[in-house]
Amino acid sequence: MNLDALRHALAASPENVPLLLMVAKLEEDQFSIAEARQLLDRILILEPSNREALLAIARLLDFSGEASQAIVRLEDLCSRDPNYAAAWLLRARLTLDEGEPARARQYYDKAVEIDRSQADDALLAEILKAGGTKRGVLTSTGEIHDDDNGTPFEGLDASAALDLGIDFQLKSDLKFTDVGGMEQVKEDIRMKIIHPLKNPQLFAAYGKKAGGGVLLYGPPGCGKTLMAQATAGEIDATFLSVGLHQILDMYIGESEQKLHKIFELARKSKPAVLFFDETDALAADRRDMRQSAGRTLINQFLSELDGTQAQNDDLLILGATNAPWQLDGAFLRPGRFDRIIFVPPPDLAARAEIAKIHAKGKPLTDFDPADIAKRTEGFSGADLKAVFDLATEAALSEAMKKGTMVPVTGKMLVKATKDVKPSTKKWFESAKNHALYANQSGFYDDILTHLGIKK
Amino acid sequence: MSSEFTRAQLLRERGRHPEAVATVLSHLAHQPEDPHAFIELALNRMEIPGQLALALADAKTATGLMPGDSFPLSLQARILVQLEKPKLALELAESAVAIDPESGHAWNSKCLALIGESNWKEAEASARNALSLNADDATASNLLAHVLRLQNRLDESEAEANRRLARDPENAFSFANAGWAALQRGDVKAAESHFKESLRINPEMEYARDGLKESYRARSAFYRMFLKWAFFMQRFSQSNRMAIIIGMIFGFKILRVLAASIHPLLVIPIALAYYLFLFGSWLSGGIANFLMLRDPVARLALDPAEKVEGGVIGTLFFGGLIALVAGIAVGLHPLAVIGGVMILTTLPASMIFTNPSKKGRIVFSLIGVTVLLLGVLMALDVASHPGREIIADQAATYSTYVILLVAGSSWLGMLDSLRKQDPRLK
Repeated sequence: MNLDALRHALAASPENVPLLLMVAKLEEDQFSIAEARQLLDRILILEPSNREALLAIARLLDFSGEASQAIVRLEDLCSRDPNYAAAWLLRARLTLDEGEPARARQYYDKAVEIDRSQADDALLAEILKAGGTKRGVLTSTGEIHDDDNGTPFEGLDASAALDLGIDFQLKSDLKFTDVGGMEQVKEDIRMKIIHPLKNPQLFAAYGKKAGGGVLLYGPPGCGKTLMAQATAGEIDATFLSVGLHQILDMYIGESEQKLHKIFELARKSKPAVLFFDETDALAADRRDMRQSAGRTLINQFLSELDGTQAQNDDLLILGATNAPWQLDGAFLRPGRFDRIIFVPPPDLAARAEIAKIHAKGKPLTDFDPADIAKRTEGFSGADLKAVFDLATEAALSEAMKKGTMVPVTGKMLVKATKDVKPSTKKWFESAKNHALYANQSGFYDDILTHLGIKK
Repeated sequence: MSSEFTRAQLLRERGRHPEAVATVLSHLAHQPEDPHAFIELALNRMEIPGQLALALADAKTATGLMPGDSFPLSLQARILVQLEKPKLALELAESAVAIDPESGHAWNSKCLALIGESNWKEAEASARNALSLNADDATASNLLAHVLRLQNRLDESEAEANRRLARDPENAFSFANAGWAALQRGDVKAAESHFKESLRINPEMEYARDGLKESYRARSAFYRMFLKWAFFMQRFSQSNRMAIIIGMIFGFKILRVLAASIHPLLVIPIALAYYLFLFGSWLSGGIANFLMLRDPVARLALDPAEKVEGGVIGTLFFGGLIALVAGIAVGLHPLAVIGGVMILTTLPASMIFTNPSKKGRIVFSLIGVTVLLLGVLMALDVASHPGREIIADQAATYSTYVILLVAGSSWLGMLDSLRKQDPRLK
């Protein structure tokens, strides 16, 4: 880009902020620090809280050898705009230069948490090399605090976790109170997971141990993942989440090692919840496997669950699946996924809560979440979203015709509830067959109870 | 092989067909002429309801990209069988066999196409060919057991199912085959046990679920009679079945004339047997479903439409019978008329609730409601003319309409468009 031409354009339009920013960046790239600073100051006169300008000034200060001043400005910027990933990343870099790798690590983690595209392997490697191995623990309010549990990922393990692509940075502060309704499921989780972990001695006295594997199953879109996160929040544990695509990647190369590394990472950050979404993809029935590699991986998973290579105490392995019938029977034996929790479609209270969440930020009139909840028996969370999408589209279409803002009315929502069919119905049709014909161990009793077949 | 393609195969293995389709499409964006990707697409789309036509198009594209390979042709043949086009399927399966006579998949496709054509003998030969190439071919073994049963060679069918089960004791299809053979033999208890075992292994196997329902229905002697008739008829090709039915109609007429020439009362049992047979073949399913509703275990096997059918047909038939008998017994003729019409309504009603054709459901519902309304009008007319001959004047006109509509519905019931689902929507 021609700097001179831009300077001329700027002379013609001196208050054009994007242009000012562009010219300042080009000046900075040419190490014309003073010129760049002048332009940035002009931006701040026009827009005192322009974050790009504030960040660029911090960068310029660092170039000029005034790193501590730059850090102060970044501190201010981060507190004003805590979701500005680029500011956290620069703060991490400057803090590392100041010889504080631990803090640098926290800022780096925060930047990547906000925006994964900010990940900078070279910077992370430098931080790790300098001793910044302790993870920053994030909460959903955006604050950072030290991980007091003293369960850091060591050196290369942190890089490995990044390579594996698992979500290991998030410490869930989601609690049961943040999940509306579903009291029966919460109670099941309290009895089967939380109480044993919180009172290990008591349970040990009865021959029961904390940790182990718990399988959440139910129709898709009904909050299994949310419940897993909330469970981690309730027991104040690190939450490591492995999704379908990471699981499938395991079948493609170095599978057993990858799986072992994930378990090792989880064990190092105990107490931890290691969550496998779409567990059926990893724990599939070996009879259906054509590739022997798949069978080896499943054997590895079984071995990790058994904890033969390391202890799994204080490590809770949570699995979620829409297709529990596709699981290899070996996974359901004692010591593995031996506690099973059925997560049914959201109940009345949960549906009202979900409706309120979807209503947020939308222009609504005559909105009655209780009424919507009543009309959506059997709907999953995803179905409820479809209801709101459909009603919003109707309002938008009317707005386009009238050329004026039209709110989403309760009537539109009611109509949408009739147009959207509950997606859980098909799931229950399949589930019923399994519950009727393959329920030798009582695995599907909850489904039979839910369907009213068993009292 | 790209990682996306491998991922798609993994997704298919795990029954995640829509996600697998999306992944293959993404792979095709980079390698638009990869025939294996089109095969993968077809295999996935075959499992997604309503996408058989797309699957066929994918298999055709794969054939175009690898014309010397038998697999895409064989795959096309299987899709065409599902689309109920066995003749076309047979042509393609034969081409696949000609390209690669050592392909078990191609021989099995040919067998399936021949089953679709009701050509049991040649289907058996194809299954045996596939088995001669690979004695452990589970599909061929199961198809052989199936086609042997269709020829009423029950011992051989059971022996083949048992041979398969000795090698693979968790083969749901083999258990289902054994179940059908037992049912055909009349051993309802053994059939039930085989079907339950099959469903324990694969609870979603339609073939076994249907078998279990049939074995529950076969607990009633009335239904067993019609099941025997169905098993007898299935041995023949479509044209032979039609010839048998026409032969029976003419046979009845001759028998009636003969009986009348001996003694007029002899006509009654012959006519009764004929109408029982005629109506029974329409009503047996609905009545058996009604009987199943009374069994707390068996009723769980019924789907909601079958439960409604059982309830409606049972109420119309048994309620009608009670009203008819009571009306005649106490001389309450309007009640008898209503009873008779209720029984007649069971015929169109038997083609409403479990009919996969939407058009058919509408047509037979309209006929059913009209017949019932005409029955009410008839009953009112009879009630307002006490002492008159029961079926006279207006009532006679209504009764003519009723008979025409009921007889018409039995003819309409033979139209595929009113009784079958469009195979493309399967």
